[in-house]
Amino acid sequence: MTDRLSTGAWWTTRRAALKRPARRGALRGDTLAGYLFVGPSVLGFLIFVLGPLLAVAFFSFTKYDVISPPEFVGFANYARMFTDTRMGTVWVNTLVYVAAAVVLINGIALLLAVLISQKLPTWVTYVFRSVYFFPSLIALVYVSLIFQGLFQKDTGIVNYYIQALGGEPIGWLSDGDQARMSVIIVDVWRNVGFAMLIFVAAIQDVPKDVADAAQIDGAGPFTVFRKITVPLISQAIFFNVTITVIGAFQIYESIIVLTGGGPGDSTRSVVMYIAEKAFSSFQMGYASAISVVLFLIILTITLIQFRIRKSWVHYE
Amino acid sequence: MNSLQRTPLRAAAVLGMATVILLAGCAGGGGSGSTGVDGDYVAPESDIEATLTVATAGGTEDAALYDAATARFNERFPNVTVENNFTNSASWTDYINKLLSQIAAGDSPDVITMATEGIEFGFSKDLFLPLDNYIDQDQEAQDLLADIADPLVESFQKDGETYLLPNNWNAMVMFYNTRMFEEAGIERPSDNWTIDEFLEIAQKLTTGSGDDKVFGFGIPSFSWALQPWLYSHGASWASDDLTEPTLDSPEMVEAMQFLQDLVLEYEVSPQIAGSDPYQLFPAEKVAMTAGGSFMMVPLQDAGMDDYDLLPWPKDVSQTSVFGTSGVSIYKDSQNKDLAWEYLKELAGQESQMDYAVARTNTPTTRTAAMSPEFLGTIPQHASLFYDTIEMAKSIDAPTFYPTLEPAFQRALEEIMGGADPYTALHKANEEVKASISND
Repeated sequence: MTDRLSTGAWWTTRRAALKRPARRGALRGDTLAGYLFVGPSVLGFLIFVLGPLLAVAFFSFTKYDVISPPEFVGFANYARMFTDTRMGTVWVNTLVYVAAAVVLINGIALLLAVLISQKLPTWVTYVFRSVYFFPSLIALVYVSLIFQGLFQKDTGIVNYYIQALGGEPIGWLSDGDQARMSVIIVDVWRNVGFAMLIFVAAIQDVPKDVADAAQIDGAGPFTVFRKITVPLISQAIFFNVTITVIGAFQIYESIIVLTGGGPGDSTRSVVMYIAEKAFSSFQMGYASAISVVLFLIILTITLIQFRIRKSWVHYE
Repeated sequence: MNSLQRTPLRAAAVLGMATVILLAGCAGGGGSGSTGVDGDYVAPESDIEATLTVATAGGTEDAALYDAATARFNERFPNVTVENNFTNSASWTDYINKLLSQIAAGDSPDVITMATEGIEFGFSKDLFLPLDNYIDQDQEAQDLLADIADPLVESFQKDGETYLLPNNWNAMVMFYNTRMFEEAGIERPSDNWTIDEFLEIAQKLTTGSGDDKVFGFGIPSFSWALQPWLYSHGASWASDDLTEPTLDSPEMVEAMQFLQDLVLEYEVSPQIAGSDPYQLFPAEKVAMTAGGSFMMVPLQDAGMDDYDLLPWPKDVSQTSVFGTSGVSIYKDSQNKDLAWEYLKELAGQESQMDYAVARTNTPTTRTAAMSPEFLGTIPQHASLFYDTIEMAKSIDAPTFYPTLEPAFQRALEEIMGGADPYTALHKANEEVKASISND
């Protein structure tokens, strides 16, 4: 019996042992399939993201004009940024765009989202939602070309009506400060619809009973919005703020078409400056160094946002 | 000069990155000799098998003319494949960027098209092969060059050697609306009219308000269209030896002050930001503008017949600008002899007649430029497109042109926005100097 028992135990053990490799084989199959599935994106990431990223980091320490071999120059490109008189202007412009994008895009989008989340006939909600989202569907180049036609000082439609109403024509594109404002107007007009949709979706997820309970307790609409709605849509706010910050740091196409960075440098963004140095002046090393700095700044700000979100973003 | 030069440079930088990616697979052929570089030239056999890679730029109409030249070339060399890496691009800077990337990647072309703006840059990168030994042994080429105005040929020479054959060009002339002149009772001025007469006419033609507003003169703001204002005032954006920028010279400041006055003081021109005189002119919102032969087809397409040409008005001197596009052999090409044969096709009389018929750029040979096909009936003084060479100076394009030109544009925008011309130009000049010192 002992033998049989032990034999039985042996068999049990043996069967388990036999099974294990089989299971391991199955696991290996799954793992392989998994790797195959993620393979293309990992490969794409290596070739199109990590590779260029490392190349930019490398070139930032060189002097490179595309045709001659890169020449190692240490930190010279980074030091040059501190003496480059145009650098300050393009950074200030970019920071103005970031601040304007965060405040105006999210502020207006939230306001519009709240308005169209009111008790309205469904078709009215659909119409408004579509109208506000339309600008996001039009290619940025067309948006900028249309605004160029609207904003031209002497032949533009906006100044035509301003003058018809007795006002003085505004240099929407030719006056430095005003041109920066025009870029912001186009950027906000273009992006507010997308941010609004995110807010609308979040507001619709806010449980009605919580707001109702607060109202029964005597909270007014503003208090409900501030104490109930905002905390409950804080994830959406966090998402929108993060996206708009990154987008505004990389603003490029709309300015290229609308003002070309001018007058002078008054609307030029950092990304435009990088493109100019790289593809007009063929100073790849310097352009790479500015790119590395921009990358580090966006990375740092995004990390800070993720770090402080715990203090204000609520998860249900 | 190719028609792409009339488009402002600033719209194009973004294309550069994309073009680099698109460059794969354009390597040259297996090599077909280079007897003509410094010895007795022996033309390639007609049954030679090779691949000739060509780098060109321009609009779609330019691509068609290159294709026609290739078809003629293939009648002589049926076994040669011509790969034309055509850049349909808005700026020469963008094209040069693509070309440099191509060479850096080891896919060097055999034949390179280059315009005046990129010549010095090309010399500094040692791109072009001297053609003199080929020309000296080729009667056909000598006859061709004899039919081309000297300044066009000279603009592609350095230290007595010829590096490119000119294949099309443009000079700046004044365009005016004949009907609006007539309605305002303005006679066509004499060919040696002055800048004061120009201003007086522009003021007379500036009328109306709101929807009916018409301006006397629309300023094309791309850089080479502005050169005649500078040259005629004795100014230039670079020193004579092309070694340093002179954006803030007193003559430059005065010339730019005049342009600012046209917009802000005399109000005879609309703001340059956001307006395109090449749309306003056929729409009869501006009565005069400046341009080259590249405007004939767009104006015809817009249904505009009531226009004619005038030479540039005289200031200190009566000096316009010209820019030339030429074709060259890449100095490390493996197919130099074959490339030479192709060059002659691109620059030759038949190609020039193609340009004459297309009317997209001015042909380089007097024969083609004075043909009825090119002159047509509108504009009446179309011969000015060629004859302006007598009073025109080549675009000053130093090696630092890729930095100088955008800096000039930035200063221009600031000046047109009301900035003090000297302050804006001095700042731009310092920026160019700083950038050169880092090159």
